[in-house]
Amino acid sequence: MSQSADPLIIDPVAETSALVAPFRNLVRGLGSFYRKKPLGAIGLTIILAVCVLAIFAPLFSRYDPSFIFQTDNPNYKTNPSIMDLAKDSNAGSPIIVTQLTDPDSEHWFGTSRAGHDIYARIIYGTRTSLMVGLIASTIAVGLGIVIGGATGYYLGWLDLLVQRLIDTLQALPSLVLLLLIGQTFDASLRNVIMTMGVIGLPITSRLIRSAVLAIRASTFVEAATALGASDSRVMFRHVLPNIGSVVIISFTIGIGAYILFEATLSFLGVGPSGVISWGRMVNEGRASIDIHPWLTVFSGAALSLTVVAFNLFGDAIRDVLDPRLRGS
Amino acid sequence: MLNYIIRRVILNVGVIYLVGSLIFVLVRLLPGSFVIQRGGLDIGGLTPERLELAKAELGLDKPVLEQYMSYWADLLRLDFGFSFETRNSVASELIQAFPYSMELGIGILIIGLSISLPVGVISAVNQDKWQDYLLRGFAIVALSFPVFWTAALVTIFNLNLGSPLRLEVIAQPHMWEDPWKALQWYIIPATCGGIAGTASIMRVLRSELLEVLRQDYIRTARSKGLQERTILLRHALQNAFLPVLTLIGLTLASLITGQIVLESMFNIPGIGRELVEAVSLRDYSMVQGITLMVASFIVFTNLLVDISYGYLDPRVRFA
Repeated sequence: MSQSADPLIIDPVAETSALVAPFRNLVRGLGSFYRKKPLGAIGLTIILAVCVLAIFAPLFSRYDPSFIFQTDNPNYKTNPSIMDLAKDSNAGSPIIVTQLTDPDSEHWFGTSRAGHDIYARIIYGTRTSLMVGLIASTIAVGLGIVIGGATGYYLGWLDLLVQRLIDTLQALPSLVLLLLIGQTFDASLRNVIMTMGVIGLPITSRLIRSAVLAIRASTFVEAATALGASDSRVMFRHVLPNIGSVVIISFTIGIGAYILFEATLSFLGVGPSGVISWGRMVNEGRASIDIHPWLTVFSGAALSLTVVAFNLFGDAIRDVLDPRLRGS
Repeated sequence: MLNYIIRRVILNVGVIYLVGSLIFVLVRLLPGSFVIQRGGLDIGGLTPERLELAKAELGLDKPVLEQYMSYWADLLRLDFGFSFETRNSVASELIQAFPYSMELGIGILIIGLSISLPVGVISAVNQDKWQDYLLRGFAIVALSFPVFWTAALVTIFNLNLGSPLRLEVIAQPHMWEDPWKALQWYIIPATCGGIAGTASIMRVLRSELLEVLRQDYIRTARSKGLQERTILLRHALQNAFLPVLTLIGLTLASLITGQIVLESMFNIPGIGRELVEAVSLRDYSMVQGITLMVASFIVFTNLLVDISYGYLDPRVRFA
């Protein structure tokens, strides 16, 4: 930005650039991110593509994901004998469910046992995964800021007590907690996401607590306290802005982990009910994996690709933000 | 040092007490009970009288507070109660299931370490060369691919190639009973789990090694004219290994206390599968017993890891 010599004369160039500067900085930042962190950039591109698929799922999915496809029965007989029915139990019905078909031009990824279009279900599955990853990670980080921040700042008996409670939470196997909570309350998407957020709490609150501890010991906090700044001022003006990178890192890395976690739960049959989940699709496909591996293969591939993308991006973000690793 | 250990042990006992109480409450919050889940299957169905009788037999008719007191009184005598389902003591059930989980866990660890240690070292030594990028990419992929998916893919290949590895072994042999058959049985789940576990160890080893390789004493060693190999193995690796050891300790604790996904996929009757079954049957004492066992294992492994730090790194002081 050009600096005008006389502060009273408004430089028109400086004025416009002040307006577009944030946008230009963003573009420039993205440009250098793409050049310096090619792997992270690949991750970001896939993430954006997945987001677009999730938002505009009806445009991409070709079919309704819960529509059951049916075809004419080639073996249809108007009055099937018992022998015909013994050979083919569907012989009496003129139409049958299009189940377990291989990928073709009509159904790009084939159809499932229930007659659903696998491609459509995978496209809609992006919604569940993204929602779970984003919200659960937000909950874990939000709670982590409150708890880790308070315990790291005040220390003393509060810290001792809360740390033991967090130890307890961490010592409980997370799947026990989920199995129990999933069966106690109904396993709605909301409940599962909230439980997952709480399960992630020990990790985020520890990270944030140690970051707060380090900043609390620094001289600029000491100076602020010496100048008579109140606790809340030190916390919000000095500590909070400085733990930003830890927060961003644990948030981005958390997203992929929670997507994977939800898929594992759904695979085990204790995931959120009433939503299309890639993890559950992998499990459903296992029943007929010998003749029709497509459901398992494609839904698992979609899941893996999404998680890889978030992990690549999270890694790159950490390299950029974590000063300890900068330049390595 | 002794002071530190004593304080930590007391804290750990407190944590285990909290875990035990929490799980006691949580299992009782589950809707339905063992009697209802199971009783319907008996001949004649579930009449109110039979319900009462069954409850009395399991000690579920008493007030919750009394159950809680006797639960802790029993636990102090190391009595975990008996499984509602099999009527055997929980301890004997766990003793039966534990070896399966342990064998699988150790198998996973062996395979995981034999991949991640060399990969981590190679990646750090060749920092920012193509080997490094390739291996880091591998680590991210290993971290991201869900273990149930890789296991399912292996199953597909195994089916189509007609390999000699059998996935459905009914005999469920132990390593010390029939090593060859057990190996055939464990190799696929252990490989899947091992690959999934490599990423974190490899990444920590790499970043620690990079940190150490920049130190002054490494430069001194180089200027003395030592071989690169000696520098790496004797000077660098020893110091980079400490955080890796922590990670291995923590992984070990969670590994041998049961792998729910792999055990249920490959029909291994270990702790993880027992737990899922116990929860769905509302077998309170089994859930409590397994949770307490896993929790104490994790808590005390943490303590062991922290203590071993003091011996391995003289800079660590226990306050």
